[in-house]
Amino acid sequence: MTDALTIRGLRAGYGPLQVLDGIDLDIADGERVGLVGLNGHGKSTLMRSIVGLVDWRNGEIDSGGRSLLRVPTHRLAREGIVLIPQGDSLFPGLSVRDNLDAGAFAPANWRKRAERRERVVQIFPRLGERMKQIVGTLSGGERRMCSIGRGLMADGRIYLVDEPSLGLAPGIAESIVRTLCGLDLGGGALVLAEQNQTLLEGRIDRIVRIHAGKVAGIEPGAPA
Amino acid sequence: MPEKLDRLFWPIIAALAVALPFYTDDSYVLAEMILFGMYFSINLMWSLVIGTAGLYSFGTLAFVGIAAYACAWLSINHAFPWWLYPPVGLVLGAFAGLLVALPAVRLRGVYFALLTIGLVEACGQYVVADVTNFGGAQGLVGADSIIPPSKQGLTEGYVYAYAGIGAIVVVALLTYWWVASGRLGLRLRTARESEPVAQAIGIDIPRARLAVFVITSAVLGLVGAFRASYDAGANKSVFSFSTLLILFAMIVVGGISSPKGILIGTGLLLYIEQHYNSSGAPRLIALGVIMLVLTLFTTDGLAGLPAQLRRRLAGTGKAAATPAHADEGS
Amino acid sequence: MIDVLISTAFLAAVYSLVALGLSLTWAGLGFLNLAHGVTYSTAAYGAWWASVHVSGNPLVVLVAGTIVGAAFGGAIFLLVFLPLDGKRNFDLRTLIATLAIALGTENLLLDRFGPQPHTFPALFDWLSPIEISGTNVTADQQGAVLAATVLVIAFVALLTGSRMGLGVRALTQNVEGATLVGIDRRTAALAILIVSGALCGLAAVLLGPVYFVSYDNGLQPMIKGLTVAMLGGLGSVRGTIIAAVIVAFVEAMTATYIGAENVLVALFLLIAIVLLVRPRGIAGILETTRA
Repeated sequence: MTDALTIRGLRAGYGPLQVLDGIDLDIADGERVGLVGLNGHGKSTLMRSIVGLVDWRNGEIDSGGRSLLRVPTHRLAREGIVLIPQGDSLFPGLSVRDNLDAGAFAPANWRKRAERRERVVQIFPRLGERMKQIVGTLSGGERRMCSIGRGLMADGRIYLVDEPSLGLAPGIAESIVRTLCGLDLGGGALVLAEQNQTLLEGRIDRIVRIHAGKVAGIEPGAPA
Repeated sequence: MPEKLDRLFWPIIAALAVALPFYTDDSYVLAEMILFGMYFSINLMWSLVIGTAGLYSFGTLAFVGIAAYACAWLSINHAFPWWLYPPVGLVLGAFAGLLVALPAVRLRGVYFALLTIGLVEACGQYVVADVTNFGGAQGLVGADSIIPPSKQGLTEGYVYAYAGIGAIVVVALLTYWWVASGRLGLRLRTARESEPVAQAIGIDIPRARLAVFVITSAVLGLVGAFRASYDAGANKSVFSFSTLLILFAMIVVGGISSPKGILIGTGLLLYIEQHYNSSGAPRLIALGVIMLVLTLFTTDGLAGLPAQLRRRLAGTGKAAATPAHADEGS
Repeated sequence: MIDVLISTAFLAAVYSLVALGLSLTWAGLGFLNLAHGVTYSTAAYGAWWASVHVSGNPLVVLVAGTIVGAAFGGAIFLLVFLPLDGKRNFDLRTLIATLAIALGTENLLLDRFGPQPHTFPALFDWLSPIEISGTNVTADQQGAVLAATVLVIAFVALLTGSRMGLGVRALTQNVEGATLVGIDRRTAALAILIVSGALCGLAAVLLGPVYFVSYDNGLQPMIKGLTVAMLGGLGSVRGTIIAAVIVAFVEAMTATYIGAENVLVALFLLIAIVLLVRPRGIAGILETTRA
């Protein structure tokens, strides 16, 4: 198997603050990896630094033998490295449909947006009923579905999903994580940051523990 | 040595200013200095609003103009003598400032700019259109002047006006220092840098902005009062958009964060303005180009250039990091 | 009353053309383009120059104005957005830079073309004046209303129906989100500024026969445009168009029944009151009624 993502000695932070202190991590194609660890220890920063959304970073981030460090964020998105960030980063004044279509902004995806949208609706039928509604008026769970749906519109190679359960009622959170882990990503890798490790149990290939900006341990995901 | 020079800067300027009328009998020089005094006072107040408070107000000339028109009107219609202008200007400026600030301080930066540009234009159009009260395009003429009728046009007459604007410059400078170095200035700067932080430490942001707006407008009203008494009337040129742009250029060139920068910027551009007057448009084109270039290459105007160069020389150390992202979520 | 409605239609159409660009530039790129007024005057001169030196054919004049406006937008991209994007004091420096461009360009026009206003060729003399209940509607007014309406509709269609349009709308909503789906802020900025400039140029051509062409005649449309953009809630297309109608109506009413000198004062009061109640203008009202 080839590596979807190779990270070596990654340090990153915001302004004078250093959050990541030398991360080494490999993620294979099609692999499902859970990032666990306490708040503030660098899960989000790791995800954001992969796509270049931090103030500064150094070290190495490669994908398919090519360095990603000099590639701007919007290019990475077009190449299928999709971050589904904390807080969703949706377009609150646009409709659900526009939000989803924006996920297929890269020209190659744009042509297939209708069939992709249908697929998203199959995964999250709730979104189908809300297509014309303005995203700012959705419930928290619906917004999360829209955010994940927008990511899926891109048909990415690597999905980085930051705390999909955050701020949701336990039942909805579980169902969203279950759906996410059960997706057929067609060979794409999935990296899931999650504080609540029990949500991941039996659903992923590996668990990577992040502590104080470093990789503190790697365990196989427990079988279901 | 530079520190000593620093402390002596304003006393020296003051001494030169006081000595000037004893050494010149050229009324042209005095007239220039009077214009300089007006522009300098206006710019000081403007920089408090735009620099210290970070409010993008373009309404400065509106307050000057409103006060000037009111004083001239009161003098012509109700025989107000010139020495009643300053209190009228002060109160009216403060009041007009309050009226504008009440809705405006709640607005985000650019809304403030839009609203205040509109205010100046609206005032300018109104006085031109209202011929019965404000004399239309000609403006108001025949108001009482600080220059006694017997001294009109004489150098001695200009000395009266020179003394008058001198007093106003002193008021403007004292107001500047009082606000900028006091608690109000601290609150405003904190709010400018980060509204959440300011709120968290209990600063009432709208109130602080309201205060600085009313205080500066009052002083601007004072300048308007002087202008009415100097011109013995008022006309629409006080609301001129191009004057506004030139004044703005003065602040930008000098750097908005220090009275010294404002002094230099005002003096420099006024000198260019007056001495190359014959070349008209090209001068203003050049001014536009200078402003643009300065803005693109300096972060805080000419006065901030030394600090910027120091930063550049010292601070390339962290460059190994890839600066990833521009201003998020503007 | 009929004449009030006719001027309302005329002004609303033209103001929306000017205001949409200002509004999108602010919401999508985060700066206030105070050179929009000189974009207007420069485009008017471009169209006038073409009418004298190339051909008085309405189509030629229209295209010339559009191209000059679009080119001016491109220049603002190169001179203001590109160098300052992501730099310190972006807000204030873009404001100063666009003002500097306004100052320089206005005087450049004065220097080249002189202070006297130029008359514009009639663009719509192939239309004949019509009469609506006793009020005469000139060919220019009809043409301007028609053309501007078509343009606004086309623009809205582009914005809501095309890929780039969606990109621009996404950018006005959430910059980080836009980057994450692959929208390049610079490409979008170039598109926004060029289209804004072109729309502004078109407005200048449509108003050309009604007013004159002179070096400083962009200031008024810009102030009206800013008023409309602000009232509409910066970034909201629907809000902007509604605001254009309101501002045009208030202007027409004030001019007819109170006097032209009070137009700006009335608009100023309107804005102050609306913003005091709803700081985000009409878009704010639209949002609360939707929720």
